[in-house]
Amino acid sequence: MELTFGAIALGLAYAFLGMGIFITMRIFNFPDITADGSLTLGGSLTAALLTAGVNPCLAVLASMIAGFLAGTATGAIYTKLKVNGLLSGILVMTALYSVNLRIMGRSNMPLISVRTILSPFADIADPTLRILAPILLFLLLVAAFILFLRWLFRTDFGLAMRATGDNEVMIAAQGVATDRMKIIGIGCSNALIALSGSLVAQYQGFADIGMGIGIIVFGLASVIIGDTLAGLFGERFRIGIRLICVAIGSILFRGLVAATLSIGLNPTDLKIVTAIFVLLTIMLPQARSALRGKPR
Amino acid sequence: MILIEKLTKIFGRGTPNEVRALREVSLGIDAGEFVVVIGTNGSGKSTLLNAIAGGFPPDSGRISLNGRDVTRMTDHQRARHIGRVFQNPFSGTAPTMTIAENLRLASLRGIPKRLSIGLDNGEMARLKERSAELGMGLETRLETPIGLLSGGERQALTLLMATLRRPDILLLDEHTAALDPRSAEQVMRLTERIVREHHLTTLMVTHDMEEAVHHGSRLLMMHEGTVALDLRAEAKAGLTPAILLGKFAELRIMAR
Repeated sequence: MELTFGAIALGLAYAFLGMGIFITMRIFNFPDITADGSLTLGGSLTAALLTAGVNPCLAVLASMIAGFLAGTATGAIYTKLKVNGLLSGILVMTALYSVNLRIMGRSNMPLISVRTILSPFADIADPTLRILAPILLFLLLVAAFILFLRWLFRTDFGLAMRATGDNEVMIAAQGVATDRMKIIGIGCSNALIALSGSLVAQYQGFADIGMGIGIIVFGLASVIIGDTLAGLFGERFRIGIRLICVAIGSILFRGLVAATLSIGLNPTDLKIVTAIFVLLTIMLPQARSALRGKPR
Repeated sequence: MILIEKLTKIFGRGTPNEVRALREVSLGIDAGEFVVVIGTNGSGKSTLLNAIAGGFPPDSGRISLNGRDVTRMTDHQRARHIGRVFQNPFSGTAPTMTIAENLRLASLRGIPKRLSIGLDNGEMARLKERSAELGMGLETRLETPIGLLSGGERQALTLLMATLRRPDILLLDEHTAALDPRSAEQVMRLTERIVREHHLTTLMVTHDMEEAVHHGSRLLMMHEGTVALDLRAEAKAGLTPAILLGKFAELRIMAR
């Protein structure tokens, strides 16, 4: 039971990672792998600030801003310096490793004895409610951000962002500086990813320099599961619903991880299992159409 | 009114693939003129259009729109003044976005896109009215993603988008070439109507001699990066496809 609740809470915390990847991957059509660094950035900055006694809400906000800046760095390297997109992400991700170590001053920081956004729930007497409270908080946050993003992508600015990923020639002809759009978009994505790192660190009770390694694949998994879910509902275009599906995808994926661990799999094997799982989900549509005998 | 002075563009300068796409082209187009541009492949006709749109900076020369020097402005900085329809019907529209969303972006061509919902009920009603002008029934499908439409429908919408906000100049780059004959004819009819109704200054590149003869008030024939022939009013009116083909043959002989 505890395991299930834990998986749901983590799934919700990682839902922001999924949403961030969704923005770069699906909206901007940009393979951004800054995620590995920016998730850890969110976690480490939160840990350092909380340990220094900063208000938890401010720490979360600061993490998001830091994530946004990391994303804009990737975006600027990609658009202004014309470096390959994947490489831009790798460069920033690599640089962030050092930055994160600097921020924490060591490779791991416990958050057991400091005040986090979850601290108020520790005093709840009812044990079930105590476990449910973080889930409710995360759920509220996820819902709030989905509503915000749904609104954002319906504004004139948001339409221009979407068009940038959809057809750059067209939106440039409408007078949009697409470079700027991409930089802001990748920034927003990484702000969400850093938020994810911040929440995960606070929920788990520690930040670790390795918490982001390979995390892009986790995010990708929730986006793919989310897309599959959205496809089942015949929903390919409405962003709000697709984001809800990504959040559900994140929870399902965490559930899958928890289940795999509970049947006795070594946690160190998790990454290879994840990689194979993502590969399978990507191959699935191809395999299906191959079976039907029509090429995609 | 648009003024082009000694515009030169060489691609791949100093390489074996050097292409002298535009050689000191000078050209003035008056407000309200509908200029048809023809020429063989590589004659520089598309490059000319692209240069006006700001697709690349020219090597030398000047382009001004309504007295304003735009030579060093990027394509998105010029967008306010220029409406464009591309040869590929997929180039002018964002496929995963709805007709209404595409039209909304087009009605903001060249003006800042703000962080507020612009596509409200009032705007929807206005876009519905404007898209009804096309007479293709698209006004009932404003919530449909554009990717689900046919090439002809997408091209007609691109044409509407290019003119939704009145452009100083409308650039049509072989915009019917990739369409089936019926859609091509339909889009051409729409073009005539929109250009006439709004008195738009228009530059249309085509490789279709019939189109070149039957449309526009002025005809330019490009050849090896220069304007080889410039026919107006009566001279243009008397043209037939056969005469044009004859002119092409003359140029080819002169080149030898």
